[in-house]
Amino acid sequence: MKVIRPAKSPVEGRIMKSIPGNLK
Amino acid sequence: MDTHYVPSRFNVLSRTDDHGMILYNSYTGAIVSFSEDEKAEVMDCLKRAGITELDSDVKKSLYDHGFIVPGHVDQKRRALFLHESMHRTDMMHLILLVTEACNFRCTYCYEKFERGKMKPEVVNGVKALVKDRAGTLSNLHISWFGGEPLLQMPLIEELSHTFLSIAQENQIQYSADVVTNGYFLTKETFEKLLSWNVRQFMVTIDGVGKMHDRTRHLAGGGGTFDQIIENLRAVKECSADFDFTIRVNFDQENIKEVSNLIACLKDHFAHDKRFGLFFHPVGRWGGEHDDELPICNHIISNQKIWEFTEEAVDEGLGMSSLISGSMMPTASVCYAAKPNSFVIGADGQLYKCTTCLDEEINKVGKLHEDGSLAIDFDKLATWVTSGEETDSGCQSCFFRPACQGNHCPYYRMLTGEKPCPYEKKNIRKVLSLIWKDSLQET
Repeated sequence: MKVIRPAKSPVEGRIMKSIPGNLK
Repeated sequence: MDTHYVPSRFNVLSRTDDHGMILYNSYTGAIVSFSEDEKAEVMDCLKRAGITELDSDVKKSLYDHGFIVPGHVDQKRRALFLHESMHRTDMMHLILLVTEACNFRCTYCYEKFERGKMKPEVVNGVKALVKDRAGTLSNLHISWFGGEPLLQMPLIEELSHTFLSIAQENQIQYSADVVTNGYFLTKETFEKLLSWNVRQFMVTIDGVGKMHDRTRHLAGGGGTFDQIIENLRAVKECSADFDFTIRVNFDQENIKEVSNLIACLKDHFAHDKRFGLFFHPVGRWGGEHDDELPICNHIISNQKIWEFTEEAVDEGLGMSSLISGSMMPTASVCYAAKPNSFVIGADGQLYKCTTCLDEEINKVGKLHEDGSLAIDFDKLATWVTSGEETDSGCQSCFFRPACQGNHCPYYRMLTGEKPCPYEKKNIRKVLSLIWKDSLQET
């Protein structure tokens, strides 16, 4: 068992510009 | 003990190359891998019938990371509460167009470059806005954007000093990122940005030499690849910790040469975890050359993103932190859908989305010099409330806590379709790549 990323408290910004397709 | 534990509705599991498995939960963001020996016990715990005792390390871990939850928990209500927590007012994210001019003319760019440097009264307004909100903020994040933001380093410096000072006086956690074409990102400039708390960087490289210059050239037509690579090699010599995403936009023309680019980047950036790659298909994003772009169809796009990512990981280049980062709860919600996020144009115009600055629906208000905001709340509501609350499919989705149906509200407005992120569409492949990428850290 290896914890790659632990759980965070979900309720507790960053540009992630990744448009999922064409806008036209 | 009377408690009964059932599998979370937000789990995804995938196989690993060593015959083990990797588990992900979109509500807690946890990612845990299990060996071949542990797999049977994990699968037993994840049966719909659930378990009654946390009597082993594996079971305790599954509970601690949210993969199993008490049977009485209303998981959809958890997701709804998370969605509503986006309205907290102690966080603010401002995307500042310090200039709308750019020294590049990328073929797929959607910007018009009509307005130059941010006006002095707008700069005063930004300072006043942050100062006005400082007493109630716990977290301030600034995205330096444009245009090409590094054309206005003196303005970034002036505003950074203001933000750092206000943050220190009010115990606000202050962070910043920059999206730049990389042409002016010399080591000296990079170190200045680091000193102003900019820790996340994104530069796009579309190929080696002329293949990059084909799509990302200067306004006068000149090449940019050599200068960018020279800058990035100098940046790598910095001893500081930072998070640098090299983005690669691919289309039908450069798709066959992406492997050459990966080989080139391997020579410079392999086994340096501060650098990671992010592959993205070129789209028709509203630019003047849209009709001529040799874009890939969505099937090829979906496939190639992860093929290229795997090739990069196999060559010792990391995946961009954006990928696993976007799988955290709320992290795939676009800034355009967040109530506490605004784009501030060079003339003080407030927007939600950075890609459609000319659309009336996107002009949601105005920043005044005294820091006050005149907001059209009807327009704002369109951006903020058109996600999971309008879509029963999104409400039932395993990825709901991460994207909330709001990965790209503009795409939903235009097409009427769910704006599912590429990570979600290929989640099992992404998980296997995260596992593979994690092996390089041990």
